[in-house]
Amino acid sequence: MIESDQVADRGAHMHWPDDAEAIARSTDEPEMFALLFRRHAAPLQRYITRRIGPDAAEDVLADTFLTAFDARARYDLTRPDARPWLYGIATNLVSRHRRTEVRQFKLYARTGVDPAVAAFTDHADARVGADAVKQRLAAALSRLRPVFRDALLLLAWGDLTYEEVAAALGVPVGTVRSRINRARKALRDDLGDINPTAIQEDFDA
Amino acid sequence: MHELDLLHQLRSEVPEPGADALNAAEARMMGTILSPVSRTRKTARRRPMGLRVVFAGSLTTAAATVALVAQVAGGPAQHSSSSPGNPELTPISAVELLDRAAIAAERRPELHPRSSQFIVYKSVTMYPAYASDRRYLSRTKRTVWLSVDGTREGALTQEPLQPKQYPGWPIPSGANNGVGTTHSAPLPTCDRHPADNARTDYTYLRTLPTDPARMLQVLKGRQSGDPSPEDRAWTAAGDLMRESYLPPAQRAAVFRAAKLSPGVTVVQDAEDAAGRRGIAVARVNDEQGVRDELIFNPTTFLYQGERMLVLDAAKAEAAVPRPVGTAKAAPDAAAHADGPGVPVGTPLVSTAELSVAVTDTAPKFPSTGKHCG
Repeated sequence: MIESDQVADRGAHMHWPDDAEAIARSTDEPEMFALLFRRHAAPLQRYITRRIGPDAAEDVLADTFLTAFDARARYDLTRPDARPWLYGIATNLVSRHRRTEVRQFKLYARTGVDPAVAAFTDHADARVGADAVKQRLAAALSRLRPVFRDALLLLAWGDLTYEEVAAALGVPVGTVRSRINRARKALRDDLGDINPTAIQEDFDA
Repeated sequence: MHELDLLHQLRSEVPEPGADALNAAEARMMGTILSPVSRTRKTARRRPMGLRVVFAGSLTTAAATVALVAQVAGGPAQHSSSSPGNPELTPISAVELLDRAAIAAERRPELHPRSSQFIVYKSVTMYPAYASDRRYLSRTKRTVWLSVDGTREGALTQEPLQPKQYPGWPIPSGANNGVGTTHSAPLPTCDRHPADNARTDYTYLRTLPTDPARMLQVLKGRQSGDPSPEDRAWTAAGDLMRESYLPPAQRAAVFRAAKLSPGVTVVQDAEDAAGRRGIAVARVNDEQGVRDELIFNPTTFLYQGERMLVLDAAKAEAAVPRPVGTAKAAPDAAAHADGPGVPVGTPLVSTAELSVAVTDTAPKFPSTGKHCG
């Protein structure tokens, strides 16, 4: 361990610092922040795009990293993985686009064409992919309380654990559990009349 | 169906962004982070189609020339990736670029070589080779062992690489004869004591000023063939980068001194002798009709090489060395050759710094008979 640390001090080529170390070093070496981008930008942009569509996603991604850079002095260096921090910042920025998000869910629910994915499928496919259950789900998501939707989609689309969602949103894990359970119940209620088996699911995650 | 499974499927068609888009976004982000000028711009706005051009809000220096630089992280391989779209363009001025280069240089760890040691400098070079009936661009991989205090015998190993074509001239049949071979020779000191303004040993270079204005005076006073002090300073900056080791503080001072030179511009997408893309600062040498460029890594802003290309064919042709016996017969420089003259806009000289390290000893090679003098 000591040996590898010494190598890192001298060369930095032999050893890739974890996120916390990269953030700490970025105080004096801003270039180190590029490491965070390379590690997390791709899935993060996908998460943002799934929430608010591709038009705003690029800007939100850039704002996420610039906001993170400005806030890096306050990063909790005991957390080696910066994903919860970055997804929390991105989720906060996504909330500025709440009307876009809700409008897109409603549009998909009404027309079967999802504006958030239209850019990634050709026009013929867009309607073929129409699916009554997914349209109901989109409608249900559009009606969720924003704090429920944030918690649920960080879990489902951000691939975060309950603990990571809690860190991302800055709330206790119990609160996350409660929000996600209530969000899932709301979805099941909305889907219920076309998918009755879902009602039988229990609340545990 | 389980509502979480359904949720996982919803919008699962959305892909992760491609490498080109990510590289461009990373370059734009790092440009914003590292640049005090564009920091207020916050985020580049998206443009629907074609070139995406972002202008800096304001420039602090009236003399600064803004070029739009495609910053593509990494090496040449990045250019072959799938999406054919235009790269993002990020503006950077020569002043900004030299500032970043200075900061990057200062952050490099100091090698602290001892006077008895040697600097091992590896590079690739390309220089034009001229004869009366042939021209080509000769390429070599060089390893040089340089005495830290200039008093010890060093060494030089050269490996000829595939030559490149001099525009308009066929590569002569013998030009790649040496490819695959290695030539080594000692670098004798010859008990020479060069004047300070010609010294390149570390022991001397570490005493140079770290203040940019004073460094500029040193550069203007260096030995070179340029009559104009401004040209001399720019030439000297390149000379001090090439096969020498400047401590971080002095290296940063050279870049900051270069900011004080008139007529410095940015050249996007300059390629060094090793084929690595970079961003360059460039200055036209009117006397010689050429443009000299210092090339930096577009991501780290570390110096990586240099490049020279011709702007004025007649002036450059006049500077072409005449093979013995032909000089007097060819008073009209442009007409003397048996083929096209010097090509405008083509790089004729380039170098690439591969590595710089410190070692206790230099290898001993038999002398090739080259004598001091």
